[in-house]
Amino acid sequence: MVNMEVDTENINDTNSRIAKKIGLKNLLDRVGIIEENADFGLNAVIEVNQVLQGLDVLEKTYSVHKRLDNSDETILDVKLLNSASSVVNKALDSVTSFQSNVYDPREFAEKIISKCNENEDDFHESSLLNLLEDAKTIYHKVPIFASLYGTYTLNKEQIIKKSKPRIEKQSQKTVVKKTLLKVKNVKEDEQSIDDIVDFLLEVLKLNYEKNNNQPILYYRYVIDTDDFGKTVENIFYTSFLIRDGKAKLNLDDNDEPTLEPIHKKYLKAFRNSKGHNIQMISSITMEKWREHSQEIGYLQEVKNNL
Amino acid sequence: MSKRKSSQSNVWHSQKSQNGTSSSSQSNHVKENNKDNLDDCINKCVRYILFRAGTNPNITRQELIKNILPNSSKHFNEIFERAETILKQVYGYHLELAESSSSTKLFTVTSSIPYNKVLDDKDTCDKFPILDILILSHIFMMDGVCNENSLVDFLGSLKISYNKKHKLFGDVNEYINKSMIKSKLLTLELNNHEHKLYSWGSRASVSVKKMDILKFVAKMYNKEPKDWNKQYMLAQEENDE
Repeated sequence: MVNMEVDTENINDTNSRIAKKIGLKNLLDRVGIIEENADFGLNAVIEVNQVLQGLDVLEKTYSVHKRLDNSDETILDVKLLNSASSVVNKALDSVTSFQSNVYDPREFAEKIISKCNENEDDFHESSLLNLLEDAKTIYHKVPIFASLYGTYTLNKEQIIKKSKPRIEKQSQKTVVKKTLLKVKNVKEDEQSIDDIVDFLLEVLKLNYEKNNNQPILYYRYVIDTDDFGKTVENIFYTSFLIRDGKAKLNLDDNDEPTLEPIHKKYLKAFRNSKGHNIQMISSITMEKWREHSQEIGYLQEVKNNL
Repeated sequence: MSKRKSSQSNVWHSQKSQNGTSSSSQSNHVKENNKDNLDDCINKCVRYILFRAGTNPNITRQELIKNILPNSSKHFNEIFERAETILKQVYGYHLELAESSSSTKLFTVTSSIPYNKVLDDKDTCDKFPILDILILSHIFMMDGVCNENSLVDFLGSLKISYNKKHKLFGDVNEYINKSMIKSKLLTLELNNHEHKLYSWGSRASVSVKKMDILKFVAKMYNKEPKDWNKQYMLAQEENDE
């Protein structure tokens, strides 16, 4: 049993204010020692009980009216009660710690299953979705955002590549071999000359027959009374008749040139006798052309009839 | 002679005054440019954190300096503070310091916007928070540390197989030992016998409140959080901090 330092008989006997104050202070010191020791076991509870009993005695000694006059004592009274009650609380906590729940993982799992199964019959993997709201309330993750423009690199600035303008390659001109036009033209010219020469021969033969198979006048044959140039052309083509051995030039009694067709036999005999065909183009002047332009020429006549 | 000197000095003074006025306008111009650059950096910082936080909310100081502020590392503190304010006031994001060392600082982005189940589609939404909370609850109730066998048994009791593919969570083993540890939700250590020991990671300590976990456990038991005195005291200490 703790000896009370307070002499309750003295307090009961004497009405001194000082004695009461001393008593309260002593009780307060006692509670302070209990707190300092941090021993909140059963002994502490008993000591606090004794302190409160002493306080109760002090309270009963003085009336309420007298206590109101002594504010110092009232303050001490309040402090003592506070300290005593905190000690009691701590003692209670230490006692109740032995009664706290012990965590059992399997029991916890069963509780979770029973909570998830409130609305369902059997527990399956998807039943845990019933905990989704609780989970996201406790642990609310930051949402994932993505750039509207796809990948967004903060490290490098996107380099816009300038596209080079397309240079269209000019298509190489295909080299075409130029054909020799001359050859073609010459061939064509030769063919046309042969045709003309054949035509001239026919005209010659016709007029030769009309003339009783007698040579006809050369200038009468080639002349074109309307056109001097045509006359020269006729002379030119007639020279081919002579060159090819299809016609023969001669002089008549008046020393006028005459023209007559010749047969192949005659030509063959002529060549066998080592004769040579000579292409001869006679000259003609304007005066001579006017001189011989009194009658229409045979070639001109045929041309006009065509 | 004195007149010439005074005229020269007048010329010099007038030149000086011209330079003075031009230098003040130049300095104003430079200040405006610096302010614009600062605002740009702050906006870049905010955007980076917004896009980055969804995939991995753990952001280091070095990463921010490297990607956003390569030339403005001197002003990092000012830029970071203002970006933090914008994120908090406009988007409801908090940048919590998860780890700090002499060489680096690791921040975790958390959202203070309350969860709204109306906006969430059960079929397509992220379901991993369920597994995260179950594992963190178990570790917390086991006084903050648990071994692999304990965790496997607990999950097995909930029909979450460690080795088989789960319908909601897929490969749980890979998720726990890779994703959760990489994202710093869990910390893995090996004891003397080389057994795995799991505890809360820095991100979990910042993103998840112990009191909320205890309330969740109490809800499952239909009890009060105070019924687990030790855990309750730990949760209270966190609240007081």
